[in-house]
Amino acid sequence: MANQITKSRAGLYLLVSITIGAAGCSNIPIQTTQPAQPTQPTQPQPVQTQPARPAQPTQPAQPQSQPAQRSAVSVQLLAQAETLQQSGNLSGAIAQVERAVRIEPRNAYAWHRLATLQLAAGDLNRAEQFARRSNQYAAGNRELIEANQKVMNEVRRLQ
Amino acid sequence: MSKPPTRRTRRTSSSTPSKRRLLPAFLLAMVLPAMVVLTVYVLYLDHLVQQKFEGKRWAIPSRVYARALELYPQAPLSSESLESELKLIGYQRSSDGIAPGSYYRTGNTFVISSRAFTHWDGEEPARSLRLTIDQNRVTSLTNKRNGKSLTLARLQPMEIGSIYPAQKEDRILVKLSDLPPELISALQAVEDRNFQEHYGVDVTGIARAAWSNIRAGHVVQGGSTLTQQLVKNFYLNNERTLWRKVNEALMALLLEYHYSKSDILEAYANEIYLGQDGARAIHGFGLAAQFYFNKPVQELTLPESAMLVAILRGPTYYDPRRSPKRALERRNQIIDTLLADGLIKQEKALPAKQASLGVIPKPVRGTGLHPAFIDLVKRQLQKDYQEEDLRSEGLRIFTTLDPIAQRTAEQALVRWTEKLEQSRKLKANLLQGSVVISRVGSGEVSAVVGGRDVRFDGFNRALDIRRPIGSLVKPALYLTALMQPQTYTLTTLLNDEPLQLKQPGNDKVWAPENYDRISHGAVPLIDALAHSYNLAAVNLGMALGVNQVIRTLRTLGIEATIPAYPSVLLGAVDLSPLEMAQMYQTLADQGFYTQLRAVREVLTQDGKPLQHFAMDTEQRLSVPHVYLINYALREALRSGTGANVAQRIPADIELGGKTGTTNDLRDSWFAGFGSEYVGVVWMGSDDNKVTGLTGASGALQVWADIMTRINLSRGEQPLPVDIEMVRIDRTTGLRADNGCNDSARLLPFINDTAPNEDALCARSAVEDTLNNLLDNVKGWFE
Repeated sequence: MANQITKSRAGLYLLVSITIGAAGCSNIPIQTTQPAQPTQPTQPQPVQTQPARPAQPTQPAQPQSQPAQRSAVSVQLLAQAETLQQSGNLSGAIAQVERAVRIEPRNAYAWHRLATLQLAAGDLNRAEQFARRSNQYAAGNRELIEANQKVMNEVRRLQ
Repeated sequence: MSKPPTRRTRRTSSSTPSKRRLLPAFLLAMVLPAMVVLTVYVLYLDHLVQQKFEGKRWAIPSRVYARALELYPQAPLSSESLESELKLIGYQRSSDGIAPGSYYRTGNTFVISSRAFTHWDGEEPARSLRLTIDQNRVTSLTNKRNGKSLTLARLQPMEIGSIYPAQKEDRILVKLSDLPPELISALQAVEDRNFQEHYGVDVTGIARAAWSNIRAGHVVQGGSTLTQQLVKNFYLNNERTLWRKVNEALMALLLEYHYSKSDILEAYANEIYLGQDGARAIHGFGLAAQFYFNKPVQELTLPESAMLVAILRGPTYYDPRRSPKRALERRNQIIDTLLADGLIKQEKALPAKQASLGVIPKPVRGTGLHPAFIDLVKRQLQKDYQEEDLRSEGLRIFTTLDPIAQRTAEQALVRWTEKLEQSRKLKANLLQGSVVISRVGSGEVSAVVGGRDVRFDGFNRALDIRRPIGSLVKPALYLTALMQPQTYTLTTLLNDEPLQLKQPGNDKVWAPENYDRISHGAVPLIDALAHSYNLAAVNLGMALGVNQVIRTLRTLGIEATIPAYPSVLLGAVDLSPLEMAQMYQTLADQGFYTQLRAVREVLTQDGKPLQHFAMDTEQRLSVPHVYLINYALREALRSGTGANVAQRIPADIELGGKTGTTNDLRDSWFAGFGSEYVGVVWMGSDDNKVTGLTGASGALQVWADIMTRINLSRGEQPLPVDIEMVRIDRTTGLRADNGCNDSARLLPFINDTAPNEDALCARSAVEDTLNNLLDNVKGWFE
């Protein structure tokens, strides 16, 4: 009996992870690294794009990758994680994404993937917290925020 | 060990039935018991020989590794840091960077031939890298062989130490196939010519040795076979008795009977004593290659191999560091022997003999390198492992230590304690200090400095000293206020006026004072924090309730019990630098709590994963609330109590933090963070003497030195969704606009909490604009 429950639960996690994984990987448009623009159409409030720093007369341009953008490093590591997950190696996949998070602690996509992988692994607590962490750096990226919400909904459903 | 020893199958000898003869009774009575005793004894020795050889042969210390340096385009990295990392992992600078484990640098371009390494989360192949750095950033990373660009590569991690077994023997296990052929042939040519033929004891060898010794008049050659030497070291003590000699010979024969030559040779290669490093005994060729040449045994050259064979005859006598001349002579004798025996050719022998010793300076190793960090590693592991297992199971422990950050922190602390003692005419060695550095995002500890004597493995001031934290507590206090955004914003005016409080439990009246002993009247919250006004803090804290502030401290990760006295509001609570790092880590991560950790992964000796410390986090506070306090902490560093170092910090690097100074200037603190690192520095004296240092004049200097060197990327945080930036008139705290250029500043507010009212300057600007507009409109009709 207990076995059955665990089994069906595991199946559920797998299903969830596949749907959410798909949401996390294919539906979200990939943004390439580009200089920050003064106004971005996706962001409803123009004030949000102001840099967070004490008022200074000149603001330097932003050549570095923005948190919600995908860098080559994270794309590569997340792709490796995907392959590992598909071959059933969840812990290997998690290790790859953790590496991505260490390299880019503000990469909202990497945190999101960590959330979906932990969900697949059945660690609901981590899944929820990583989804929140992803939102922290999502910078108004609606698709990503929605995908994180899905993770959190699933966590709630399974709890 | 790589493979279990192979047992020799021995043909069973057919015994020929001997003629039965009657023996005299007394002979029977004498010989038979002797035979029985001898047989039992040999069986006993046989048991000993097999048991130890089959079982776990050595207690292997756990090896502790630093984090591996990740290389990728855009990685924040300076050329100096890269070069020191390369040196730390034992890479040698060369003219082309082609040999494995070497690099070539010209300006800011590096060519690196990296070694393969099995990281806990995957294999990294040996690579030939070409890498350019510009303005503290990797600008290009390519495969040198085909010119293709690389997305990501990593170097092998530096080995930062070992956790030793009780008897302090240290070794790196190697397989026979790892040893260069020249090393094996040199070993046999010099120590045991007939190794491949004899049965454990070499009678002709003994005779030859005896003959040479007689001719020379003293002992020039030993007659012991490699097998006997192994037995002597492995099974027996150092007594020089005939009885031991007999045992040695018997056991050598038994060992050869049971095991193959290659098993014996491999055991020998790992057992042999090759030097001393303080209390640590260097055993085996694997560790000796590291100890003398800082390279894996596979990479040893001919003269280096010959050097190791020279050393094993007398590790003290032929110590190449202490007696380089003698060691060189002996090495060249060995090369000559190889040549004479036809094992190498003349054209190899000559340059080998001319080669310099190539021995590196004695490395500071073991727990001696960064003892305070290893201390933290042990404490994290002690929750899951027995001390004994750490000492003997040969675990491979992958930690979070960042060698660059660690060295930077060590140097900064040493430099500033000396400098401050001199400039302030303090007693020499009065000042002590400690540092904790951790990574934003993961909560991984990058560096721990436990005191000025950075190699001292003793009292760890980063983990164990507990001192009043002073104003380091204030972010928790102001955060408690900002968590009520309808009541408190960064511009809320606070009352910086004197007050008197009764401490609970006694009748003493507590009358806190400002550092400058002046009260500043009504002060905006952000300025009260930035300038660390005590009266404003206590007034606010009493309004919020001391218990609420203590609850916030707990939320931020302080687990110690804190009594609810009003003086807690000014940091009258004793905590450690590590605890402060935990608190500021939660701030740096915008309210996400992650327990600080020093270990990522533990592998068994043969590389199987034993324990993975999975990344973890827990949202404890709302991001916008923490965003506000962090903004104020950046302001504190730029124009508040931290302003004296502001000009040393590059304008585009975002750093923020808080000074802490305790009564009578005993303890000097600074805690803060940038986009990559969290850092806490404590300075004071061990016996709690007055140092005369404020947080700004002491700890902050060290902190700024460290952070400007390691936190190389700027810290643009995306604005949280619920935050808006509003221009505020500095004098009135009301809304400003272009009309208020001189007195305006941009401040973050949680949506709909910014003041509605316009400042005078703004209103006049609005009027101007309106008038202009009206004029224009009028113009259209004129």
